[in-house]
Amino acid sequence: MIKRRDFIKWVGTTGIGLAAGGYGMGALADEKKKRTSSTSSTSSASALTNTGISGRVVVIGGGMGGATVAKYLRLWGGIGVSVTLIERDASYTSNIMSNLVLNGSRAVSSLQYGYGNLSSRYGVKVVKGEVSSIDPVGRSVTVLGGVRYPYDRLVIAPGVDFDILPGLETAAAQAKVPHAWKAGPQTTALRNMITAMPTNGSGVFVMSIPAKPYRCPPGPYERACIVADWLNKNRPGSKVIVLDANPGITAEVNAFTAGFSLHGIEYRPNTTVLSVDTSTMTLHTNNVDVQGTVLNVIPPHRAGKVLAANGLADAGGRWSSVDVLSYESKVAPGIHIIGDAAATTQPKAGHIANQEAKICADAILRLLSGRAPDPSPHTNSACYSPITATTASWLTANFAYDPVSRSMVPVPASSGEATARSTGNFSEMNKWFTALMGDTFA
Amino acid sequence: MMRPVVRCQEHLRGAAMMLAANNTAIKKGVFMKKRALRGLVLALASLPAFAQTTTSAPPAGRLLASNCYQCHGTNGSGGVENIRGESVSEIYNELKEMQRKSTPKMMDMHARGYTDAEIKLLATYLSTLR
Repeated sequence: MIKRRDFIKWVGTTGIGLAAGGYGMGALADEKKKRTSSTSSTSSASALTNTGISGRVVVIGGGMGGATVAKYLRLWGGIGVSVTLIERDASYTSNIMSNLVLNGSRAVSSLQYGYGNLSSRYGVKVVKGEVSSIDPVGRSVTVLGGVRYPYDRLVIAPGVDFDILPGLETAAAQAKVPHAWKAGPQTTALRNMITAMPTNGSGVFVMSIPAKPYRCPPGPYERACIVADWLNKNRPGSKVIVLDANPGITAEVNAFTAGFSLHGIEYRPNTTVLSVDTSTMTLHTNNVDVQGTVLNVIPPHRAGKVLAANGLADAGGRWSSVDVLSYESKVAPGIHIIGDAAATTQPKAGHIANQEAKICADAILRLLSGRAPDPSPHTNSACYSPITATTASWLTANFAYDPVSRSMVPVPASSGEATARSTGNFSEMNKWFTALMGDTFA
Repeated sequence: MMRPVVRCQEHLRGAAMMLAANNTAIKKGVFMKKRALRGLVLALASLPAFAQTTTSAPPAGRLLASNCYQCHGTNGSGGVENIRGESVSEIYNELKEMQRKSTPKMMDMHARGYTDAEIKLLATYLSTLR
């Protein structure tokens, strides 16, 4: 028999607790307010219909892709499609906008999103747990502790993981040189390092960008701009150096070229960090060594560990190759991989992961009812990048399926960036972010 | 507990058996028809577990229109600008106008990613949302 005290403890550590928990957090509290004041912005679970489609789908990972696919499987598939979302954390911390933690304009708590809406509005079963094994033949997922979840279709959306550079093997070294490329405690830690930089202007902030593909192409350049902007105002005389493994700025070239010049950022392309010496705070590169007061090394990326652990990182041992009509793995039938972990021609970013998730959800529902996936999907990438504390630029691309290359190709006329940074873009950025997170988590 | 997809398959097998029973009752002299019927029986009995013929196809344009929702909210409502409840011609004309803008902003550029047929398709779907 479970004692009341134990029951409460158990509820607090399982998916049941998620439905009720988490509303104390900033973004969640905002969403709750909006829900009660706006006119039926989304369907509730009670409005879900029976489409006649039935099946069991398990989703691993509750980030931008995983949350969206879980929501849309129920929204479009109805009550006959059982959806179980397995996520190790109680809430998701948005990487989008997390650079604004570094200049003190946002707190990490304002970027957190729980899974309460997915369970209460859409009837998604949320399980807080860590996957221990996947059985692709018997079609089931087992979590640590032994509970087994059978599936007809499995979606894996684990996001990215990072290479460990020589010199950064220990937790202590990683704490001294954070990447802060997965928003959370490291983001706050990096903010604290920046504010602790000397007031006499002798500080040097050095950040490094890995070779493509990495998560959020404009993100590192945006970070350099935000940090330099804050230092120029609050620690005048400090220096910002960007070491880029790529031959040039990889996204929003006009906006960031202008931003780097505005903020006096020193940009060194074709510079790869090979190892880190945390005792002297030195980065060893393929060019000269670089010393800094604060080091922010973003290491090369790979798909989340669960994929390699299950033989699904078939693309160069780093990513998972998929058919972009369904996001089904090219090596494991019945398993779909979406978001940053998938090897596609599309950028690794939350906005496009959301659309990949919708294509995947639609394809799974068609497959469950004996139909073929939609033969001509579109995805779109759109984002705003703050260049200063009050201005932003934007980037957009609309991708269409190309049956010849069997890949998503940007429609040329639909791809481009803002002509100039502006305060108008900055306010549109906040609206876009709220809408995107609403479409994903609410 | 029996899974619904399995139940569906068994319904189909049941139907196939009934057809087979009728088949034996069919008088001689209709050999060709009998063979055709046998083919149907085999086809039905060998349907894969996931084949369901009872569901209707997803509405045309639903997936395409979902590209709007990151900014305009799920089902076109609650985002940067409400697009739910607009008529087909309103949505179509707005998007065509955006495609022609000489200094395109983000949405004007996004609109250029769709063909005329695709704009009609997503406008038609969005207009059905209430």
